[in-house]
Amino acid sequence: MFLPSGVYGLFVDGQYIESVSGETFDVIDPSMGFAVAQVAKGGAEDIDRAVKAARSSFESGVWSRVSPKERASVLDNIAKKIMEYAEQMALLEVQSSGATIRRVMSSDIMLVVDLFLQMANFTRDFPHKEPLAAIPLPGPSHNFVIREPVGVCGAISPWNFPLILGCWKIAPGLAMGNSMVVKPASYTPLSTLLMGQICKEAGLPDGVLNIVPGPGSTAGETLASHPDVDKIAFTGSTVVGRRIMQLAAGTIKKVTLELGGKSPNIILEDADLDIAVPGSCFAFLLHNGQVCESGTRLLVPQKLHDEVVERMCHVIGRLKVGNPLDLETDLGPVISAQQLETVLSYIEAGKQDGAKLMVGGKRIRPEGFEEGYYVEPTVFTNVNNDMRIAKEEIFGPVLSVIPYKDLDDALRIANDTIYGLAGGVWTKDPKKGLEVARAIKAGTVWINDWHLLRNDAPFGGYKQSGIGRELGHFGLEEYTQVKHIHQSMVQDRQRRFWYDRIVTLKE
Amino acid sequence: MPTTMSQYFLKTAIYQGSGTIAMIPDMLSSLGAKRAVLYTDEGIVASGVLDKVKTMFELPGKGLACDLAGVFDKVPQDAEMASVNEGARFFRERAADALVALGGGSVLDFAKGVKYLLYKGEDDIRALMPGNMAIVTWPKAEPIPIPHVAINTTAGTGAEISPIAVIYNAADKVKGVLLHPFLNSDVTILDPDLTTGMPKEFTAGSGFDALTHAIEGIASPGAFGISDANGFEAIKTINRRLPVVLEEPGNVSARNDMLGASAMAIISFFYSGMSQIPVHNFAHAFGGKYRVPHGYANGVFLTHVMEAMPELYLPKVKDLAKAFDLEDLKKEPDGLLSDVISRIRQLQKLAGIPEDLKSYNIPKTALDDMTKAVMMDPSGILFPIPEETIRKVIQRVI
Repeated sequence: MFLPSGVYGLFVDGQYIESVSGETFDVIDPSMGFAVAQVAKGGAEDIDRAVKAARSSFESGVWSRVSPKERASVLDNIAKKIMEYAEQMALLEVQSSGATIRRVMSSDIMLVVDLFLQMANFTRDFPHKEPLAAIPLPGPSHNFVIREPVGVCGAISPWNFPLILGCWKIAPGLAMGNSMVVKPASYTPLSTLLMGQICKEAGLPDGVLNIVPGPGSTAGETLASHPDVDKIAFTGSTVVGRRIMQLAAGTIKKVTLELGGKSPNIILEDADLDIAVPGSCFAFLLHNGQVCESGTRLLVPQKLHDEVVERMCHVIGRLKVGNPLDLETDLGPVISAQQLETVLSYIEAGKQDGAKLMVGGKRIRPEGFEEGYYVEPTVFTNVNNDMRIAKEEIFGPVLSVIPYKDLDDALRIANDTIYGLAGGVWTKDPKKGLEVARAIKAGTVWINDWHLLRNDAPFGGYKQSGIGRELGHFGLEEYTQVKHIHQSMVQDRQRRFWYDRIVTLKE
Repeated sequence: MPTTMSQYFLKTAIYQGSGTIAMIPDMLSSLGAKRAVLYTDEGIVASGVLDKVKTMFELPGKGLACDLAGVFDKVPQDAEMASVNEGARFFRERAADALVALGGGSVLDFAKGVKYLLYKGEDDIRALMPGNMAIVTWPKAEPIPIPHVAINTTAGTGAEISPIAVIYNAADKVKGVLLHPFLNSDVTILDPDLTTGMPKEFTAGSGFDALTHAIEGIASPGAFGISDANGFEAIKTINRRLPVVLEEPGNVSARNDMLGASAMAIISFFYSGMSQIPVHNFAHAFGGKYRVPHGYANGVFLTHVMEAMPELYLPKVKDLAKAFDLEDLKKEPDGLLSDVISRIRQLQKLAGIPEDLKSYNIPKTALDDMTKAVMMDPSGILFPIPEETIRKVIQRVI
């Protein structure tokens, strides 16, 4: 990964290389606030070089035309390799994203290993070729639909779960035979860069996976508008997603966008609060709320309001915020100084709009991590769904508690948002749970839980939360094009009566 | 028509026409197959027909439908039992889940033997055919759940759709019979493009095999409407089209007709009960002892048997004469039969099939042994030919 200068290189055509400009940028450890790595800074020319490598590998057929089974076995190898590199991978992830080592080691790494294994299995069973039934008219033919890779796929991955969400694109993209150019978020490129080496060691041919960290304004925009990129997949904010869709429109790229959310978490009157209370804390506090599907609007029936808030504040007051490498730590820092400012400004807006701050609300400076970007888990009550803290995605540990009168009121509030990524309901009544689940306009709904995503279940948004789905066979389909082949079995001119509809062809 | 019970149970789907080999991998996938073993013989390999079919597994892309897990290209003439065991071992070694048979009667029957062995979970077909025979019938017989596609490269045999296999026991020098209503393929592909390169002697032998099937079927006491409709149509087609394919081997349309005739002929032969098949009785005995190819042997014996046992053919002789496009139908039955036999001799001459087996140098002293062999052959069990008749026919050919 390292260039002779000690800088992390761009991964292009199977090699770690310097950027064309020779420039680099710093990766900051958000728990400390200082640089821990330098990375070659990819720009427009670097993206272009990576796209050329991807195109050339794609057209050569070295990956795009090998059998799905062979590709699946390389994915299996990648999974094994990630296990070999688990410790290094986890440290890179913690250092740059501020994730706790407890979470990364126990779930992120395992989820990514499982992702490659499951994508390999889905690839083996995928309907790569589907014969169509014979129909009597117009005449005998053999028809089938084949799935072909899209081509060169660009992927722009976010900084919150850099490894997992980068691999949500890399794994299905590779599984279906595409060549890829990945631009990881500038805050967190390290674990993704390591994937280059891992995939190469696992047997992925050079040029099939290229990784170019760099600023969104140059590298990202070039990738999203590059005429030789066939598809762009993005995870991030709705604002940037909108921009990417506009850039992709220039060459009608296929687009999948997994964007923001302001997901409603509805506690019903009959909910079991022993699980609903810790569950609702989990829903908005995982990774400090820097998760797109976080349950950031808690809808509580008026009569349970005080009890729920009191019990949640009690749980939150006992959380340990600090060193992400300490196994006892519950919450680490937010990603950056800028993100810290954003979160604090939303907290200020909440106060000004008349919401009641029940707990948290301030930056904290844990001992030994005084320069880190820490903020207290924060709960607002008395929130109106029109307030900014209820409408906008904060991407921080901030919960808006909104009381409701009855179920209709709850569903009205729940769906009164531009977003539709996720939702949840807590109830002991399975029938009510399913009714609410159907009524919430979102791509994922949990009944009595949160955040549990499965590598075989589709993930994506309704409304302005995105286009397309990731994971499962739905996710694989997004990396394919569909081709219908009609092979005529009519060998006699006189049975081709359809020619006569236009003109009688005389010979 | 008699009112005795008849039965017609044909599980095979037939796809016929130029270019139909393109459907093979998808047909296998639809049957649930992922890894097929293809059985064939050296002749098919050398002729390039195997490559044509293999290409279908590689296009439009590798691994998109059922894969070819292996090619077993050592099928011997007459599907010998030890080699059937070897074929099943090959299937297991390749962890295959489906069979494709590509060839003529020997290959098609060979695959049936392999399938039966796999289905029974055994490793020796001899143990499953005591007395060189295994007859399992409907409704006791259960479906055999091993995907199976058969591609006939000769227009004779009919083995691509018949639920019966003739498997040779080399030690006993006997052609054993295996019958099971689910023994035949799930899907049959009759693609005339595969048959245009067939050598003349194969075209001739397989054409006469089909003709014999049709005639023996029609003459059988078990014949009924469905078997006769196929039998007479087969004769009509062979009479008109065999001369064409002999003259113009590349005539796809005539080749296609001959493939269809061959399938129709086996329907006539098999579903009329196979209880009275004297020509086959002779052909099997001589095939077993002297390795005379089956179609060729049928071609040699057909007219001699018809002359020696006219009573079998006289009841339907007028329809036979019509099927052979004979012009003068007003003659007495004896005269009509003699005209039919003459027409068959004409075809025989065109096909280069001799009226005897002299080229096999069978000594005159073999008469007693061969008479016994004909009497002992399993195909004669239900219709023992009088010994004198057997001797008379054998004397005419050796």
